[in-house]
Amino acid sequence: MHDQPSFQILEQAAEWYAELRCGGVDTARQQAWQRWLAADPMHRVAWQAVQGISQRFEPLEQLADRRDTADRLLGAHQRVRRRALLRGIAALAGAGVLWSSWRSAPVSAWRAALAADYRTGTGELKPVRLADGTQVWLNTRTAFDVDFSSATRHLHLLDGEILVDTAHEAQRPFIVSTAQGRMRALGTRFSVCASTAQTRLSVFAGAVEVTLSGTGARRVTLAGQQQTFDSQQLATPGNAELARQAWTEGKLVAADVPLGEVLDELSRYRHGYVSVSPQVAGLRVFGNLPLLDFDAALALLSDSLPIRIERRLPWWTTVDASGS
Amino acid sequence: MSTQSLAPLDHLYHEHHSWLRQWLGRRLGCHADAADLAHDAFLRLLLKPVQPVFDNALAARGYLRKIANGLCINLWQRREIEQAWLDALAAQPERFAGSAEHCAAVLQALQEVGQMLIGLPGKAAQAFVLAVVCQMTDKEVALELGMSDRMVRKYVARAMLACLQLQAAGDMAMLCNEHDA
Repeated sequence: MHDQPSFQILEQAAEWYAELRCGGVDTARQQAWQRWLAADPMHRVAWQAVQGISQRFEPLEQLADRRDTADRLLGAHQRVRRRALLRGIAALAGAGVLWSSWRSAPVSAWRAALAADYRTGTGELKPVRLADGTQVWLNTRTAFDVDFSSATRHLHLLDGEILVDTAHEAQRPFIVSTAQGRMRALGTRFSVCASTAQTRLSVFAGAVEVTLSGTGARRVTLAGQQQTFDSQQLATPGNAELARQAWTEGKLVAADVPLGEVLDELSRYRHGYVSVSPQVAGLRVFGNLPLLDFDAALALLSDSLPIRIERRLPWWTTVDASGS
Repeated sequence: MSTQSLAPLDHLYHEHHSWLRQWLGRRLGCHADAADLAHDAFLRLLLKPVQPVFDNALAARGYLRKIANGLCINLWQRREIEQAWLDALAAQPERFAGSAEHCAAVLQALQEVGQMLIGLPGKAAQAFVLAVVCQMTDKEVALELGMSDRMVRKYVARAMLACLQLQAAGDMAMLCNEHDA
């Protein structure tokens, strides 16, 4: 049986959305919201639905001229209303026909993760020390839940990337899980990057045992190795890039990395859209770039590469060959 | 085989489909649209968690007309919004050049906001659009529309609740459909 939140719970979730959507809510209200979330699993289900819906409106955040578009949208709506009245359709009963498509839309993990124990927003890096002394760094747009019991130390990574330096405890294994599998640390320092489709594990010290959630297949990843997997299979292990740890210091260390990938990486730390022309996407990048200062990083890139950067709008950056 | 033993929906389809198509044709002035919507109307019935039972043909047609009316509004709304978005783009020709995907994503989001506006009273629709599309705070919306912050918040909550209910209804229909299959 699939349970659905009751009308009252949906109503409460909608009210919380209306209250929280602009931010600037005081701590007392935030705590009240957290308490509400924790009070009933159905509250969480309802809140996830709220997040799923607000996510559907996200593309509008990048509108060039919001006001103009909003006015046109309302104008269109008014015209339909008038036409319906003219044709004698008094009750606008048809709402929602197309909304049925929503049910299949995945709720973006990081949106759902707003209720997670630990999380970072876009462009935020955060070190956290857990109760057992384990050090965790959260990369941008990351969320995880912690579940420590007498038998295990379990960290559930909902989205994003973490670097973990585990505190040694022989009795309680340290486990990180993602949608695709579980990783059991064997005394270690490692990073885990989770997306909806796959998980990338990089081990820098010690070893980590991966168990796939789909098939139960296992493999041990050793220090210096990188392992990508989905719920069904493990890819061929590669070399862990030591430079990948540099994000904890707000740096992107690129050694022979295509420009396209560098820009993708930088984009994770800010809102907005970067368009890269295919002509320059393959240019190799070497050097240190600041992760949290997009403008400075772009300036450094354009100093060393034959590229032209254009920013017609604050959120819209185009990178092209300098000659074109 | 008597009509009684046919599935109710089959029966309904046989009796009323061509009537509904003609009725929609008159309303929309386009045969292709009418055929599509008539089809959609029956599809909607199929997805209902509980199939309605009608005493007579008149009651059945009244019900189908109600569904079809809703579909007409949806169609008009979609077309109007698409046109509005094209107009908006035309007003800023250079900015979006070469970003067809982005344009499509925005249009999709606008359609979704638009679908939700159907069924919201005028002021609530305005408040919600300013809040969601313009990303205005409650204060800003309140100032713009000459209402209190509290009212804006109430309208936004109401709009979100409408979305949640629609989504829940969709999930329900899906589940029942799976169950039947």
